[in-house]
Amino acid sequence: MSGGFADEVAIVGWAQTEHCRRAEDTPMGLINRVVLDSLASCNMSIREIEVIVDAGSDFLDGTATSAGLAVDACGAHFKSLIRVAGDGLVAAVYALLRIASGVADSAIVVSYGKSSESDIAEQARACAEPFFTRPTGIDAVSAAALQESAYLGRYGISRDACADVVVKNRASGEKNPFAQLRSPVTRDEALSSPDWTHPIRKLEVSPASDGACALVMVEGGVAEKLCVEPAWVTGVGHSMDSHYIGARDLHRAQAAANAAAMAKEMAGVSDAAEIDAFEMCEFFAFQELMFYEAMGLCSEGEGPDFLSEQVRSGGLLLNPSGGALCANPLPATGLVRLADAAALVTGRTASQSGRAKRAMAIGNNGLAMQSSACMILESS
Amino acid sequence: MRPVAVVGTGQTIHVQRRTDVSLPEMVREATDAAMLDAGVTPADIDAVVMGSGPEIFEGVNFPDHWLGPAIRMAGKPVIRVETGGTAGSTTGIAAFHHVSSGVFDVVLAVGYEKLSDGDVLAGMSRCYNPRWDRDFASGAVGLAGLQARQYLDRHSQAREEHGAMVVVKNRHNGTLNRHAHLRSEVTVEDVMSSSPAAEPLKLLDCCPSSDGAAAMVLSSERRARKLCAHPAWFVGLGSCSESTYAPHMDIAYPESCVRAAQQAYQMAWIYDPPAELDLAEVFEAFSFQELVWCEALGLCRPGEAGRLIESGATELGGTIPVNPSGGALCANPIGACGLIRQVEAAMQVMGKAGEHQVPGASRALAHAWGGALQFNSVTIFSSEL
Repeated sequence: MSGGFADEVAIVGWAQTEHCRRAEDTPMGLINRVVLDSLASCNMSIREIEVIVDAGSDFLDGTATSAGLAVDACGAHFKSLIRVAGDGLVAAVYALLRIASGVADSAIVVSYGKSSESDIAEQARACAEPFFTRPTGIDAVSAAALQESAYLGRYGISRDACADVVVKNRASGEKNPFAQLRSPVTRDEALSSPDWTHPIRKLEVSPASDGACALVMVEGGVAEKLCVEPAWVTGVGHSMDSHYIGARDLHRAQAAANAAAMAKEMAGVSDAAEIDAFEMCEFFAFQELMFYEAMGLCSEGEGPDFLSEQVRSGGLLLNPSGGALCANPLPATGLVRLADAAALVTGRTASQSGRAKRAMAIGNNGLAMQSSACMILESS
Repeated sequence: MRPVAVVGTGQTIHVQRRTDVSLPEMVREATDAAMLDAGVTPADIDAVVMGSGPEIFEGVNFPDHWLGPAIRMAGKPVIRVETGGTAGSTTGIAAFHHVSSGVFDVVLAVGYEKLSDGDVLAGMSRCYNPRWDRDFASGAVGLAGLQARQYLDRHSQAREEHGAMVVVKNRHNGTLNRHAHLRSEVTVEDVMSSSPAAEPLKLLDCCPSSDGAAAMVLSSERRARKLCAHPAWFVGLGSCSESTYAPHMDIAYPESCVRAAQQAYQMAWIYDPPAELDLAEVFEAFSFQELVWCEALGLCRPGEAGRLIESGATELGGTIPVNPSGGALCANPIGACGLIRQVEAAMQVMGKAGEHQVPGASRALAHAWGGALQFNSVTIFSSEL
């Protein structure tokens, strides 16, 4: 591992759609809207952009190499377009590296998904390798249920602890104009919601949303010339754990821990509490508790206590957007987290959800949190 | 920009169907070979960039989550890029950015495809827009046929035999490359009399569908000097996309290829490509594409690629050998093919291409295309930084 960036990089503009079921929009329409809106948000024109990195899913789109069809919508004609096949936050990591290398000054990262046109359970089953894992029929929910069981069992945690995450995030989502679920729920409602896949309850599952997100990333010198407050990228991390669920310590989000450690080291952050806001991809409520532990906010097994303490004292911003539990436009969800984190450090939030000097966005991809990408952003 | 070098390369043999290995085992053959060549172990690798064609070929969603750990890279950053046929070359370029960013020192790039596991033409036909043109989709062969027809109609001096001459040259080169899928000579008559594929393309104008993988280890200058006596330095990079539906798109002289080449030449300070390059590895999945790419890459003027192949200049031993490895006409594991072009170009400037080595090669170009002829990328390697 080498260390810091060759060139400084900042996020200067972003846009997202309202995430909900959008029968009236095509994926290309969603992409086009967020690309134009993200450019408008930082007073830039598509002519000033050199690189487009898009994150989409052939499986969701039902098209092979769907990046080819996205070229027009992204405005990538005669520009360099690269499809990162995975979570939108991973696409942002690649765009960051490309600008940090000094070979490009500006990039748009765009991610989109229309879960309503696809079968997302089938899409998740297809993530499992075909020889040993797929025959078991495992999908995103059953993998998560195994993980939650391992987590709760290891530390003797009651599954009711997850209800606190639901209550907190749904209350935050109410203020987020882009969220799909914008109604608060009580702890009793969360606890009495039916079993989805034991021990996961229905209200602990993120919704399937249609939506898109785009983000403008530029080299430091360019950022300083724009009349907008930039969010500086000071740390990046990424890690992928073993594919086989049985080969992993499921009670620990190891990939997220590796990614967060790498990003913190790069940003010179020794204690996670030096970061004041966290945007996490919790597709299931318990995953947010595991993220706290992976990011180093508390020790392993202490996620529920940490959350109770935070709810009482209100120190840190934990998914102030409402997180994936309120909107989950796969595979753009990670990029939405990053855009929301950028909004927090620049004070340009749509929901007035707070202001932070330093924020972390962390993604989640694969069955039972197999991989995570992470970025730390800071205000000027 | 931080200098970046290729310090090790590896390939599997490319064949019709690997029944002896599963997909992860095949990918691991290539990555283990590249790490062995570079003299590094998995512990030395900081990050992995993976590339392949559309997921429909292997039928696994996010296949990097399966294959990354399978090649002994669990715990590390692994990303997968996918730009159709260009994917392999995009992989090498993305790996370059990983190192030149200053964040990673040693990065593994790997491209693969096990086409025998799926249905290639069905996969290809699903590249087309489901609302507009999938109903009459014709895979890649139909598109390449239109391209060849447009090329022949545009240039009065171009003849169908020129395509056949490309096949004869590349199939000869393929006999010298132990990794190639097709390793037998053919004649112009063989090509001309082979069965029709998509007019004017005949069967022998088309690439085979192969199983195979390729990998390379990239490193920063500091590590490269220690790891390798003769590294291949990245000196020029270019990549450009164009719209699928632009009415002015010229498939017989794709502007995205012209622009990608210009970017790479500018970066590498190359003013006279045929004179300053020692060889080119281009992605000619179909014979006429080599003619089209030679022109778009500036190896000759538009319309003159026929004369170029007639002159023998692009043969091994000519002034500007094109595809000394035999190219995609001798092996085409789609998602790996662009990376194979880079691996072959790097091997040439490292002086270890074996029987198909271009003597004294010091600057080599690698090209790849993908999508609806709309993604083009160019990489230039040099033995000198």
